[in-house]
Amino acid sequence: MQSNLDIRDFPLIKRIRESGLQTALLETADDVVQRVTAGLNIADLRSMLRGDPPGRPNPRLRPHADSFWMHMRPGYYNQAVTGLYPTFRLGFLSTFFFALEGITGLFLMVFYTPSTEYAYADMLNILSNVPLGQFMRDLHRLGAEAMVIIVALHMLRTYITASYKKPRQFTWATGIILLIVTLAFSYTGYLLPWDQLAYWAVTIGASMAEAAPPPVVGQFVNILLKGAPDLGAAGLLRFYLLHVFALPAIGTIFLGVHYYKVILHGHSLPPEDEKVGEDTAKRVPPDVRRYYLPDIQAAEVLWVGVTMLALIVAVIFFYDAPLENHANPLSTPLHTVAPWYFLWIQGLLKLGDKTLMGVIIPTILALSFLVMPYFDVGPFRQYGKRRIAISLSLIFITAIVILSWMGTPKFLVQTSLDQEIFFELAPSEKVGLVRAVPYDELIIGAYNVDDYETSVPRSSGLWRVMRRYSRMIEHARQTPPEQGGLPNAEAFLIVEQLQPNLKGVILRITWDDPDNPGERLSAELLVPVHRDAYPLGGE
Amino acid sequence: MSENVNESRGKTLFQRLFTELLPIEQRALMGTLVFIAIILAVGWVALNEPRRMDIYTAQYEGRSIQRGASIFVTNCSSCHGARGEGIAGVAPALNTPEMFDGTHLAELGWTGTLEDYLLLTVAAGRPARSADWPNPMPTWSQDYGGPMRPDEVEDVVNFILNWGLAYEEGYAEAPAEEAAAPAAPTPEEEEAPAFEPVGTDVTVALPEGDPARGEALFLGTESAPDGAPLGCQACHSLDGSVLVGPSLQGVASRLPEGYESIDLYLHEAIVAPSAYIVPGFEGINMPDNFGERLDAQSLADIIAFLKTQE
Repeated sequence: MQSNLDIRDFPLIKRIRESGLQTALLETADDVVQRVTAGLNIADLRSMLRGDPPGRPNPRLRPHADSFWMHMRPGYYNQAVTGLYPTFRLGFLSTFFFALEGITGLFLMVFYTPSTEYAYADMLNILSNVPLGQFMRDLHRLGAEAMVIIVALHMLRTYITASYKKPRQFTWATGIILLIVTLAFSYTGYLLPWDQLAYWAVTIGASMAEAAPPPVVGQFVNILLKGAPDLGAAGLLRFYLLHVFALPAIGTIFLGVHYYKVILHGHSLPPEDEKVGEDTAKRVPPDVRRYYLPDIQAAEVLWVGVTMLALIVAVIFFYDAPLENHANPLSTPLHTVAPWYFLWIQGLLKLGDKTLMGVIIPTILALSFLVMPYFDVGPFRQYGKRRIAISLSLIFITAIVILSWMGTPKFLVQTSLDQEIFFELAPSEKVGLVRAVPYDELIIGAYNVDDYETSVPRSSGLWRVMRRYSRMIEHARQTPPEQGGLPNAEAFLIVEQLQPNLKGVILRITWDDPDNPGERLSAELLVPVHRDAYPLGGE
Repeated sequence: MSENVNESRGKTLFQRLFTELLPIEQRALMGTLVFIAIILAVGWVALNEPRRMDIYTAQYEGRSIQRGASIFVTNCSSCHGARGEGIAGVAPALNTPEMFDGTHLAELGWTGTLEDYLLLTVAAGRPARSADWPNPMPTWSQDYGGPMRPDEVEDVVNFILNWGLAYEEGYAEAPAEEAAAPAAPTPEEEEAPAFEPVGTDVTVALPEGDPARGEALFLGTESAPDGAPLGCQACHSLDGSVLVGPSLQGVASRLPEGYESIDLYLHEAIVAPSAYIVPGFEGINMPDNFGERLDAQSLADIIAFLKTQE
């Protein structure tokens, strides 16, 4: 009787019977490798790692035809675009950051609930109770800020080398969409920790939605975005869903289109290598071909490693993602600013109407960038022939930098000097000078700023606080009252023991009331300092 | 890579770095080193995680107590006293050994933890309990219609619980140089009053008063001779608004009938507050222990300060 399953029919057994154990195992291993790499066997891999020239026909091109991931990369590049110049691998790095944000984001998502009740507590849990939680959060936040810079530099590079010109107009347009997606990613993610920094920075930006003309549209967009007239539970959920669902979907789609167009048109050569009006990127002569496997891929893996290491070193030694106090819609911290990449809009807002400066101008800007390649149809790509275009880009960058500076509190923000002094010494949401003094150096007593030199020992951290305090008071005394000055100001700093391990630092300023001669005005701030709150004497 | 080397002749190193790929062996070596470095760095971070998480937790708890202190000063101290010492007839003391050693909870028949008891009381409030405590405790948590978020209620509770540390065995705040400084009172120091109480006799002659010190005593920025702030401003405003007792705006020019002088009126109103009740404030009991808490000089200073409120 014939069995349907005969062990002698198994391929491996058959092979062993035919050619012996050793050969059979090697051949099987070769098969497996060839399947995993979609076309390369062990001998091909070894020759690649040795740096041998490829055989003919080049077996290293096979994966580009057979594998999904590899078919999105060109089989070979022109030697002229493989160095750091002209691409600086910024496009590749943007994709790397997209992936890094996805991976670290997935980690954070596991521990996060998008509700006003739990979001902040979840942040504290991630930071205090999840191993590698702070590390992952710092990587995610730093990666997000770096991604904005990298994507913007990628666009700038494409503009400077005029790589957006025919036939790559649509590649540029998808790039603009990806830049907007990147900014939207950063911005929606900014809100999720639900701390004061997040709440107020996003409130500034989201208020722009309301200003979209005409009012009926503005109101609709505002409700659509925030789920309620003010930012609250519904808004947090919507921002979260944009951040983890809608934007990744849109980003992935446009990233796919963008990559496909790069394959379709090839990497544009450095401007100086092309004749005017020509594009030879797709016709790479055999002598300047550089195959993706292994040359370009090795460069990319190295580039990933170096970037990753730089990020990790930054996260370990230099960077901590900020977390301020729980969001409080009732208390606006002094000097609230938008995230740095939107400071230029905040600068614009100080110059005029919210609808014009906050909505119309940025929208026109985005649209004109989107369609720019269809209007800039000049044939020249050489730097020397594009003096106006390159000057325009420099003017644009300068304008963005100046507007961003104007967006900071240094420009056109008038507050009374007593509040400014309190803000510098003990800001409500940051550590500030007073809280940075080591707990044991806060010596109990009452001090007048005018004689701090004799009353506070120089060895105490309090001395430096008092020196700064006294200089600011001196400045406030000399500033005219109409500019927020404090005539005849008297200032004190009082340290008292409030509780075990808890001291209270009271800052008190009194000054002449400019409107009622003979009267004194006063301002006071209590700054509680706990022994464990600032373990390193600051953050 | 041999053709690569030939092309490289005549180019500077800088040009080569920017326009060419390094030989693959060099890149493979660098890549391997970089990935080893990454593994070591992440491993080092992972090893340090338990310690880092402990520090972060302590830091967070410390900051919670700080925020609790700020909330307490604004919302709670007007009834419970700046140092939780309570105000007779207004609200009971929180900063007492009985609160932390279980006596108080046992009296109430509370079987849960002190933290839960405090959380519940602050969050939900409590109706007026007896004739001794005629005022209800307000509801604070948003969960029950009050103004505070749940995490703020927790901050306040953490702040109150922090007083308990002072009653634990072996607790001593601080290094020697602090003790030498003009120290604010710690609970230990409060026990021995080193001053002569002025008493409730309104015929005692008082020394010349200093309005500035009187103001500091009134505002609680300077402690009374017994070591605790008086907390006058918790109930009496200076701007006309009514907190608990009458506002003291213009008190210097409001001599009730039957008093010979404003000095005498103020003196009596502080040490024997029940002798004369401002119309409209019947049933509000000002603490009557200021005679024991003040010495003659402090009383004179406060009177001098109040006389400036014209």
